[in-house]
Amino acid sequence: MKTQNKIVYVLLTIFFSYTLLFSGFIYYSISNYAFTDFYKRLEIRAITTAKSQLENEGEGNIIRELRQEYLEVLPDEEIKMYKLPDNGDWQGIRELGRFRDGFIEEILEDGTSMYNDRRTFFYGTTYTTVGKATYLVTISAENYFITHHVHYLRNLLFTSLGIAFVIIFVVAFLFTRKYIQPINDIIEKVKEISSENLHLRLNQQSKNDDTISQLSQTFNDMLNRLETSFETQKNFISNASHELNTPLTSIIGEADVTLSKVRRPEEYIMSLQTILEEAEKLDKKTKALLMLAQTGFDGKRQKFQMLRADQLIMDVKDTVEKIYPGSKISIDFSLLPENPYRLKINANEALLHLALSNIILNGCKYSNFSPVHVALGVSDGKVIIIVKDEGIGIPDSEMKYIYDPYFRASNTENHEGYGIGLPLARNIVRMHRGELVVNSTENKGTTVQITLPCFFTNQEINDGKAEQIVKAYREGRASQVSGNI
Amino acid sequence: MRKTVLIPTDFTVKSLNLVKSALNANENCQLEIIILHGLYLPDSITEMLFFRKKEAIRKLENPAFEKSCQLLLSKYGSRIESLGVDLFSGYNRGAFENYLEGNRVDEIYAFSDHDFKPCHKRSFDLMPLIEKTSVHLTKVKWVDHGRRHDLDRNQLAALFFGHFSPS
Repeated sequence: MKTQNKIVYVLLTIFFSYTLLFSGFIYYSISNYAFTDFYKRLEIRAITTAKSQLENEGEGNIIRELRQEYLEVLPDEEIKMYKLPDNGDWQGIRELGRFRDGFIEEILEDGTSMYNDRRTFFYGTTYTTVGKATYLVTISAENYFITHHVHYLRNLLFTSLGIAFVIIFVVAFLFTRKYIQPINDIIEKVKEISSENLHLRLNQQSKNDDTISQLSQTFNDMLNRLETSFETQKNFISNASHELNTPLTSIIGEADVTLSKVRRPEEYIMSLQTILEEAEKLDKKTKALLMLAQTGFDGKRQKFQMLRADQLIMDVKDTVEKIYPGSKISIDFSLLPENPYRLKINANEALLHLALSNIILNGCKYSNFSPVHVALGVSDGKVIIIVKDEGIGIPDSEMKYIYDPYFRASNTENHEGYGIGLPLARNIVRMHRGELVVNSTENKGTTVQITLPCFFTNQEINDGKAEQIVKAYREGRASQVSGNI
Repeated sequence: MRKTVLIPTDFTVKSLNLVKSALNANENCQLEIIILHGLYLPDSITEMLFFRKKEAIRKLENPAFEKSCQLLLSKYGSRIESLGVDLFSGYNRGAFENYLEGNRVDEIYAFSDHDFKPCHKRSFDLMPLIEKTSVHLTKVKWVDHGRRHDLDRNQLAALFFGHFSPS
């Protein structure tokens, strides 16, 4: 059964049974009240009639007047009075036979008795006059209220039940549709995402923390992680296939040329030296690339840890120089903050290393190894890393596609690549709750600005709590490590 | 020692480099920095009525400018006594002199290759007024490392990758 229908049925059952119970209660109490009330009215009539007819003139007249003036005549009202014989033998009075069995006995025993025969209500009582004569007074009348008002009430309740049913149904339907719709949207969108188009994301309508937004947020986070792990591998293959080729080619070429004829020993030494140099370069590159590929994605949870941003930049510079020995990277630390705790970020070192080195490698590659400038600064709770190159830039019209996997700008023909680096970098930065902004002018250069949240808030640094936290953090890690051993 | 330094700005990140140069030039001074922008007051009565200086500054500032101020504060926090943005709306030299005297400005820093770009329709260049004042004016030249792109004027990158050269 569809969830929507299920919810509609449940809501319908609950609210309808509630309404049913409620109207049943109203009907029961009103009709019950009508019965009691009507017997009361009959009693008054019986007593006043008996008084006015059986007592002496003066008193009786007043009561008769009162009765005529204030008590309306009930429909089919009929009052009878029978003088009871002194011996109590009432069986002789023939007319009493038309009442229900047991009616008269009850009157004689309890003083009053009542019953109803469908519409007609009967009430009987005894009346003792001043002259000690006992009379049996019976009154019968049609209960107009029961016959008309209560029926009307019943119909009214049934109609309102019907209306309530419709309203509840419509409300439940609309309500569930409103709340199920976003989930259906998410399902539709998730169906579209496969390993081919992992870069798609669910759109989050609102920033608040309702369950639906959290669900799409969780999905997006998961997709980020998935995509990153996919791309990490592709990135390695892409890098490896391009970067390892060049030294290999020169090694093969050198060996080939040397072996083409018999040469002097000096020449062999020379060429072997060249081969050794190239092989060493190859070794360095392979190691650097493998280091990049060994990200936290070994199928386990990614480990985030406290990290110094300036240290990270120095490490990345090292790696990039190993992969591109000809690269020129200048680092501008002129605006490094006074307080080193402001430089701490919470990051997965391997992944962030990969992201940053991809951006710097791109900077080197697409500027034909002219200098790449890297700067680091800290603003309010944010670590800002700026990478600026003087390369070929990105055409304005293509800026919106730069995060699509496998997209390569139209001016990159002379440079090898797969178009994986930047989307990967952005994914990684996103996983760190950061932001990556690219500004570029064609043929002039590109500036990439990465903003990452600081580990400490301003408050913590100003209060001097950072030191304690770092200490506690180190101890925690140490115990974790020893625990693992 | 304490000094009050005035820096003209057009609310670009590039102009904040002057803060850097002022701080570098006064190594052992506590600086009170006034970042000043020239903005004529509105002409219409209604606009005048609802003109608030703070509001006007808030509208002129852009995120990159604010972030750069934060960057500078986190770097030079202990040496900056205060860093405030102010508007000047006087017309003549006398008014400017009064402003300088009122704020006890000791020094003015400005670019020698000054390229003012108005960021509001009523913005005006303070440079002609600055040139004529009696307060000591230091001109600095900012040399970018590598090629310069004009786009960068208002990016955080404008705060880096360069050095001052005496002009």
